[in-house]
Amino acid sequence: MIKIIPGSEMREHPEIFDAVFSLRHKIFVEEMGWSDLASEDGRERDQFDNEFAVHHVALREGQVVGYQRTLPTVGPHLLSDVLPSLCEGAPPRSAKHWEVSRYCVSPSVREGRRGVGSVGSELIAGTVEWAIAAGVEKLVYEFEPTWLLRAAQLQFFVRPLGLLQQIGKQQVIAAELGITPYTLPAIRDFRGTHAPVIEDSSLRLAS
Amino acid sequence: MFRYLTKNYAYCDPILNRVRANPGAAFSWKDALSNPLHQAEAECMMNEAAEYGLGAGFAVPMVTLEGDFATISFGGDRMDLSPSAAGLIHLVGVYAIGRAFQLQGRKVIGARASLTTRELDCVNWCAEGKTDWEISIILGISESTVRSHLNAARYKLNSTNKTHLVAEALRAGLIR
Repeated sequence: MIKIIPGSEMREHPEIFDAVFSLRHKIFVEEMGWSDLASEDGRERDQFDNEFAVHHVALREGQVVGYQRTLPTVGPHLLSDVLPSLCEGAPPRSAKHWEVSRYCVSPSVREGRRGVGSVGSELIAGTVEWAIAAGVEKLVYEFEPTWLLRAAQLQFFVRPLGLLQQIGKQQVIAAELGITPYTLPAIRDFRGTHAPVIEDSSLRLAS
Repeated sequence: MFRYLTKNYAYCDPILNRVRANPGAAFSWKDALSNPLHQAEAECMMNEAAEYGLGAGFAVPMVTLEGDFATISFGGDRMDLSPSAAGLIHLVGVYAIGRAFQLQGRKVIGARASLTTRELDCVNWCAEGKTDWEISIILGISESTVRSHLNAARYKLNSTNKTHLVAEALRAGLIR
């Protein structure tokens, strides 16, 4: 189940966000080694966790097991402010383009497989459901090149925004994923279920 | 190709072994040979490839949604790749695989494959109206094991209780 929480309501869910920032620290600082995000209290948050962010929290039995964040491209976001070299020319900025970042799944629910598991795919389904409800047509990502293939498998219209670059130990590419009429059915087929993943009450706040 | 298949080269092919070991980064064929699993056979195979005009090359590994490895290799007589050219070839490779999947009509099959046999057994018996205890007797496992299989199935099918679980499993075509 995915709970959508607008940045302006962050203060109303202190336990959820404590768990979210802990998970982000565990995955991005400890597991992926992005040491510049490290913090002494073991909670990873940055300047983009502001009132414009939209937080997607994956919950199982009340526990935070996955997370991602969407940011409007009309404001400051990772591609424009932190990683502009990934983009050839100006980064796309419009109400229809939102950037997705900090996508992560707790090791406790990872199912030990190489591909995308149940919580990971739930987050992706949530992104598409949210985007459709919010009138967002294009999702901007900075990710490893294998995700280009996965996005194509999910019937996104994939457009690279620049060339592949080495950042630390990883190869990263910025891409724009366009939602097509086939995208939502594809992710639901992959998950083997057509039930919506976003908690009903959350979706009303989506846009 | 015929020679590759009949001599079972996929087994000692250093390119494939390296893709499996490290699917994160693209690499040149030369790098794959620096620590191959089956040294002698690998070198023999690569020398043969050179005789066919495939002396040097670049391989682009990927992992699909389902967790399968895919790779495309670009080869020729010689290779001289600058880092930016390598990045470009990597991208071309990803698109080529994506297009190949399209042409094959490859459909995404995910969750369907991810309920384990035991989880499916428990869901099937649940759909017959059996209690956890009855299922444990039928399958010869402990009641708490039955519960964890059903919990796992509920997580994967995003269901809140057993009735919902059975309904989702039916909708997904996992049970009849």
